[in-house]
Amino acid sequence: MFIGYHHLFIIKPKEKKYAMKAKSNEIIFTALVLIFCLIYLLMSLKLGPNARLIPMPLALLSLALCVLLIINTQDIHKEDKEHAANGKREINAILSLGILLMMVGFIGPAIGCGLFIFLYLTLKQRMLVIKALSISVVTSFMIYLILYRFLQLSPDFPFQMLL
Amino acid sequence: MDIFSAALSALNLVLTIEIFFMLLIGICYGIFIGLMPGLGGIVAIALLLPFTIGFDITATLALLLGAHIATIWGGSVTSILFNVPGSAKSLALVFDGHPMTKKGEASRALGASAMAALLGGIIGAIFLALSIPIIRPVMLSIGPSEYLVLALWGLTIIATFSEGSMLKGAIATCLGMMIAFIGMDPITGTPRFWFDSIYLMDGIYFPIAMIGMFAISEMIKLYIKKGSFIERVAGQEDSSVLTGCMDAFKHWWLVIRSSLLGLWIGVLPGIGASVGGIAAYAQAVQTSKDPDKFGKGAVEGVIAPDATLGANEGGGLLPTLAFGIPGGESMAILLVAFLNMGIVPGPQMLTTDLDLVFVMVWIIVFANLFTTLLGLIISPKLAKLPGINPNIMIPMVLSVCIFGAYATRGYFLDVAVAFLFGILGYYMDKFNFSRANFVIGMVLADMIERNLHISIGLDGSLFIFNKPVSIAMLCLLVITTFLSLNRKKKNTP
Repeated sequence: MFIGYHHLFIIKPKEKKYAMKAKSNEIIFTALVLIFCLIYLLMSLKLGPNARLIPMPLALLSLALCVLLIINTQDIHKEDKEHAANGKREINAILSLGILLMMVGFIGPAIGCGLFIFLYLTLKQRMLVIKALSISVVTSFMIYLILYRFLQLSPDFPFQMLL
Repeated sequence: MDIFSAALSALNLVLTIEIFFMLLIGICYGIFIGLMPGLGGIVAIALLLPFTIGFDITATLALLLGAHIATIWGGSVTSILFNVPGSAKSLALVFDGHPMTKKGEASRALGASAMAALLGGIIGAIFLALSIPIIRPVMLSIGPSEYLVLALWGLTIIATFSEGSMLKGAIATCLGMMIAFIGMDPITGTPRFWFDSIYLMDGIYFPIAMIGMFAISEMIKLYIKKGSFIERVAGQEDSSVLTGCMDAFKHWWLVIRSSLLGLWIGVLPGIGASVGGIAAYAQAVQTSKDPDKFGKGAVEGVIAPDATLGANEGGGLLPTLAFGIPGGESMAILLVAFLNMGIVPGPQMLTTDLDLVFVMVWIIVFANLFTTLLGLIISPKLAKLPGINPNIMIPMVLSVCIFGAYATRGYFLDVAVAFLFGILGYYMDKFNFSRANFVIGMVLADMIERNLHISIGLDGSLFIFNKPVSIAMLCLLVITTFLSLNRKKKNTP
């Protein structure tokens, strides 16, 4: 019995805190998957017998697996403390993605990507303005050339009308 | 016309400067398209369709097949270097190709990939020529219930990928399958899980999900850990393209097995090369003496899928030409091109027009040869790309992802979905839910559902026991799964 838990007695309190945090984060993630499965199951109940032939049992199985996983989630070892401590950077990364998505939605992929590259390189990485500008202009031009000229697509950017 | 004289007369037609010139143009164009995430062989051939009307048949075939084959290697390059599968076919390359890049063995991985694709292409072409007389009866004996068992066998490799918790691996697979069921049900025509959104009614487009799941999530990881793709200490790079080429020869038996698998998957209509790549990877793991090294940068994990993809093209041509049944999406576009050129598919292709089939076989052989040569020349330069400063790499790769998401259909929502999958992929990776399992579930879901419905419709609920081939395949599936789980259990400390 002690074999499975011996690491708890040798890790330091701070590391134990990280381990607990990582464990609760994992449970939250699994719970979100469980909620998704539940919604999926409820929606599949409204489908006809043929349309739900696989989705419904699949959702049920996933629900059961998620419950089992939540029950069996063990403390996470100290190697995972790095993951646990990265919360702030994770939020920054997701925010950056959101900003990029908004830019593309407002001004299109060619200019949006170019502007994002320029801002990222100058504000975040403190790169020389000239260097950042040249990288972003070349990227914008390449995207424009391939998407608009070569593939002859007309990419939509739905937030354009809000400008 | 006998096979030997047809092969010789076809070779005579192909060995001209004009054909080789067209082949090289096609290959350069194909590598360029292949390097663009989201654009694969389908886009490459679709863009060439206007050039198929009114030109010399052999030259046009050289252009088309050259472009098509080169896109496959181009797609492998992005999978290996950036964890961005160029197309669904190259998915299996990310499992070990990218870990090799992380270990500083990008040159070796690219060399192995190019050489395995060449060997696969040649072996596939040779066996295609030899197996023409026996392929027809085999093709006709495989029905929906056998396809279903094949797809289920594909799912059993979750045992291989689920490092650590099998439970998490199973959840990831189920999640992938559930996502794949979003959209119109192909059998009943009922929209499912669509929240009254026309966009969701079309379903989640597979390449978009992959761009998010692998490329965007990798950028999030890179941002958080503030490092570069390459985990080695600078200066320790000791791999070379030549080492990779030698690896392909060293694992000759794996190359032959994977090539034959690719050939047969190509011959059977409707399976698709994306499943082929995964199946090749699975058989490489299941037959390896040391399966634990897979997923951590094993060169066999690069060789097997690439050999399969190389051989798959030859196999895919056969049903396309002989029965007008395309082996996959790219073969469907090729079929349109063939019709444009005045090539009418039918059983006569394997009898009176056999020389035309051999023209294609030779073009495939030369296209593989030139793609590999060109690939080996440019690989050392390409291998340096992942070592670029991550500060530049993150916004650049994100831009390429946006481009890739737009390039498939031009929808902004595709970009948003790719970002959502990126975030999901990051957290799945963080909590050790296998992303590979997720995409395997996504790829196989449609095949499982479609063939289950058809099988029940044809033979009732006990369809599996009505066909001896299905029963044999099912027994094989149970045995391989049991062995795989047993080995995993033994290896778990």
